Amino acid sequence: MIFDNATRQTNQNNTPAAYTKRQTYRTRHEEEASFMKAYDHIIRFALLITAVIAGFFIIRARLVPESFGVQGSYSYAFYRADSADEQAALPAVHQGSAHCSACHAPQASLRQTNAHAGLECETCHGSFKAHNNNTKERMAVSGSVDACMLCHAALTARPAQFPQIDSFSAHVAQQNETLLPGMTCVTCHDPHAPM
Amino acid sequence: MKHDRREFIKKAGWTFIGSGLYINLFSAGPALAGSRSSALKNLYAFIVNTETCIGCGKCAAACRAENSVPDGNYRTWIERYTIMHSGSVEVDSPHGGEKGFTPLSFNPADIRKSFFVPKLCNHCKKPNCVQVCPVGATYVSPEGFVLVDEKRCVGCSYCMQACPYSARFMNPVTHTADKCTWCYHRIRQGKTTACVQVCPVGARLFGRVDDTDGPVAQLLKAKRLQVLKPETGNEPMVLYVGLDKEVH
Repeated sequence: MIFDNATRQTNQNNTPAAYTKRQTYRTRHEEEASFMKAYDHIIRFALLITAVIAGFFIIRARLVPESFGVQGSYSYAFYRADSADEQAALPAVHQGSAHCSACHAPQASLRQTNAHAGLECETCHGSFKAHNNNTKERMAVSGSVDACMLCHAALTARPAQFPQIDSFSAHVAQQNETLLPGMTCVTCHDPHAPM
Repeated sequence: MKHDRREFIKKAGWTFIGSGLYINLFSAGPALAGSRSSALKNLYAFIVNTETCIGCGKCAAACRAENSVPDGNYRTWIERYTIMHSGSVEVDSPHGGEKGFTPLSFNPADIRKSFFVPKLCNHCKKPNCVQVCPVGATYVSPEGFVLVDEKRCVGCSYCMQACPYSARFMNPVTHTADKCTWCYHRIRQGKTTACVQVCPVGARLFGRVDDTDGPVAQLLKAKRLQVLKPETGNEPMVLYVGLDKEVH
């Protein structure tokens, strides 16, 4: 009963007895300790956030290539600058007629005086690929009628002034020639000097 | 703390001036500090002459060989436009025109005109495809070439949808966006593009716009030129001679 009375005396704000009693006996040291304890969760949170931000920048530095960034325009030039140089270093496959005439001078000079003067060797012969790369891989040279007809077959869409023939047999008949087995365009026309 | 109207207006004013300064000082920074390019310039133009093109498909074949373009995909292709007297427009491009064209099956009396339109990436001044790339994998090079960085491309194909010219495709080998580069490697090596080189009738021309003696600058002077779909605002750098309104 005495205990009950004592409790009632201190319990002025209807708080539990045990809590009120503890507060009464707090020292200054205890006050400071409880202050630290009260902010402990914030300190831990701040450390965590710092670690996350630091981690972000470390990972970002590793993932983003060195030359990546804005190269003059946000909208159109936000890229890895090294990429352009990498692409520029790709080997060229087509070499141009000047490259061929070093070994194939007769054909090159013949071609220059004729209807096919404006043509590159690679237009008909295809790209050089490995041919001039010391491997001397044979190039596809097609003497077939189809190869010539790719350009010279009569099509409505072709410019009228461009030389065209309706068909190989019709062309042979038109030229008053006899169509023989095995005959192709190159029987009569040297492809390097067709006309 | 005093909270009245005068204080509020004062503070708002300082904030406005401060943020204005911040934008001026810092947003100009990276643009001026561009490491490899001072500003974007479109130094090159590609001219396609539809009046001389014979539709042989040599350009498309050369492009495939030069750039290892996978079968079934095209960095450049040729379309045949056939306009009828009735006004209807027929477009065909078998194998991208790479293997040539066969004669039209229409009655010749119905055909008003027919012509070839070679197509390729327009290397636009304001390319949609570049703006939409979420990873900075496609860009305008300092010379004005629109290129793809295949090491960065994630293959989302957003650029393919953004391109109004359908110039892009998904490369089935690398699984990245792919398109005509205007033979960037060849240009940097002092050559011309593969398609320009093999064209037997000179229907394709490529060169610097500012080179007054060059073929491109001379055609720019001599011919009326048109671009495809100017209404999209991409400002293409592939210019066409003899383009009809039916071509799109």
